Amino acid sequence: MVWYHWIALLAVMVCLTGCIIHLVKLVRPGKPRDYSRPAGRVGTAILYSLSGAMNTTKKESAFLHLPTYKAGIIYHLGIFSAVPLFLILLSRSFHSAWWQWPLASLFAVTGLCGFGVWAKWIVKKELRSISIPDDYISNILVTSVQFMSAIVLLHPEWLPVYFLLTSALLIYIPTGKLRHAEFSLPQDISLDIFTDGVASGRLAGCNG
Amino acid sequence: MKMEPITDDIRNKGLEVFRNIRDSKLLSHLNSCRHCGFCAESSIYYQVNPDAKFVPARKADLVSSVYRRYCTITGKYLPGLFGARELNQDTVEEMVDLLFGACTMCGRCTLHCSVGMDISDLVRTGRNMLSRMGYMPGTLQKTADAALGSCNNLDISTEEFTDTLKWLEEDLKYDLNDDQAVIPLNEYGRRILYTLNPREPKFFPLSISAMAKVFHAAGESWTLSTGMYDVTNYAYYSGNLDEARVIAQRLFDEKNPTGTDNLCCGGGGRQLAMSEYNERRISIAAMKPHQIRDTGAEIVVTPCRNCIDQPAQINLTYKLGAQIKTLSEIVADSLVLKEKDTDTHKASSPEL
Ligand code: SF4
Ligand code: SF4
Repeated sequence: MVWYHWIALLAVMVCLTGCIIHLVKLVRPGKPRDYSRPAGRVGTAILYSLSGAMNTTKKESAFLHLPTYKAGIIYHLGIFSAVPLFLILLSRSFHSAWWQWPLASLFAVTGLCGFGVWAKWIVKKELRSISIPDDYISNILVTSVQFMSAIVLLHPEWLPVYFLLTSALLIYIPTGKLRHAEFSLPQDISLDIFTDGVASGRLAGCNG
Repeated sequence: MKMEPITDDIRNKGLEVFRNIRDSKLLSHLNSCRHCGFCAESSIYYQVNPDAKFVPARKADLVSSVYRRYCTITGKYLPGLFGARELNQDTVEEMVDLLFGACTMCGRCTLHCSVGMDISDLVRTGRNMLSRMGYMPGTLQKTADAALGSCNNLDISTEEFTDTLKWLEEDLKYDLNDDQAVIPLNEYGRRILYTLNPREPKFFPLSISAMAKVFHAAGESWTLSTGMYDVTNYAYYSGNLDEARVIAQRLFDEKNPTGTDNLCCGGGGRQLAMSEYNERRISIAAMKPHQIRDTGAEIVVTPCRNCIDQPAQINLTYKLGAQIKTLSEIVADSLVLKEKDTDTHKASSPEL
């Protein structure tokens, strides 16, 4: 273990502590009280939210914004791939392997998608009006980590910079928008009160 | 709209909503928006007037940003960085305008939000804050007060209600030539308790007769009740979405987009009760006439009486020349009662 590994470990601890505090705060109030007869299954709702709900033909928001939507999915693919890479790099010294190039290319593409999303925020007036500095900083950190993942796979001499950047991201996660990752699952679980999958949100709707 | 200046005391009343968060669901939605903006086109307000302030996420963020300011450490100490807003006069004015005056709480944006965030629940939370602070639009406050005082927002007395039912029942018996055709009131043990929108006995009593005719034809065991009005009375909301649609489809074409994707008429979320926003309410309904014209419909069916007023005003304003009717009126008009239907009317045995 060298100094930058220790910094990264410390950052992991800070991130986990922050996330656990949020989680406790989140689950403490308990499930919503539901006065209607239960219907539907939580499992089905979660499965749907992770599969069918992402179908680009199903949601208007997806098919009206197809390029951005797809860029967002690819960007998130990069985020999920960056986690195991971080753990591998943290747990053992770097050895070159056949998967370096394909993985580096993947991170380059996912990073570009992240950059595209960021640029759209700058350019589009509606997006600027609903965005806050936290959005831009979160995106810059996550996108930079993806680009840095690509670089470090091909040039291990950049490992210190990679770990410093990743540590900054980890410490930032519990503070702002990025903690949405933590709130996503409970949100999916809350889909169960919207019985029968998709129809749900609108049943709660018209109340004259 | 002129408002009382906000004081610490008033502000604290609003913030109570966050201090007593009742479940994890609200907390999760307060922290979930990615600010992707995908929900913009879901809202009729934005479709008709593509102003950034009508993006649903912006309305939701009005509530979340106040939450961040008073309930998160980062929002408290770095409000600029984390988009945390003071609950001050400007914020309150924007909240009243957008949460009361620019949302029918139709839920279309929730359905299409890329992460399924319950935007209408956040709007409801914001409205809750405003009403605790005493910033509910005056006209809406008046109907709420009436509903609290007399169980219905039109202040109809029990006497007036029972009188109306009495002459409706006489007419029904005469029309159907059947003494068994009744409009039961406060009958204990009936299978169905049918609740009314107060506008029915007050302005549209014939829709009660229509429903009574349908129940009579079906041989149902049902009753009305004094002092029990349904503020929603919305067929879809009652959970019987599929059956309501099947009945409508037998008679008519549906609009496009349809089903859960359909556009709100613009009268929901108590918009009809707030004359302050009349002009905006009629202007955001601009998509509806196209939808209706595209079907070539001469009769427009709405689930219930509550949903008639806005389409009726759209009909007039946009010169549609259509008839607007409730589903029960259409079914009642289409019923052909056979002799045996009237003979075998069941005063079914109580099941409750
Ligand atoms: S609930 Fe309906 S009216 Fe309100 S913001 Fe969402 S789509 Fe627009
Ligand atoms: S689609 Fe959902 S997550 Fe995206 S901006 Fe709208 S409310 Fe927020």
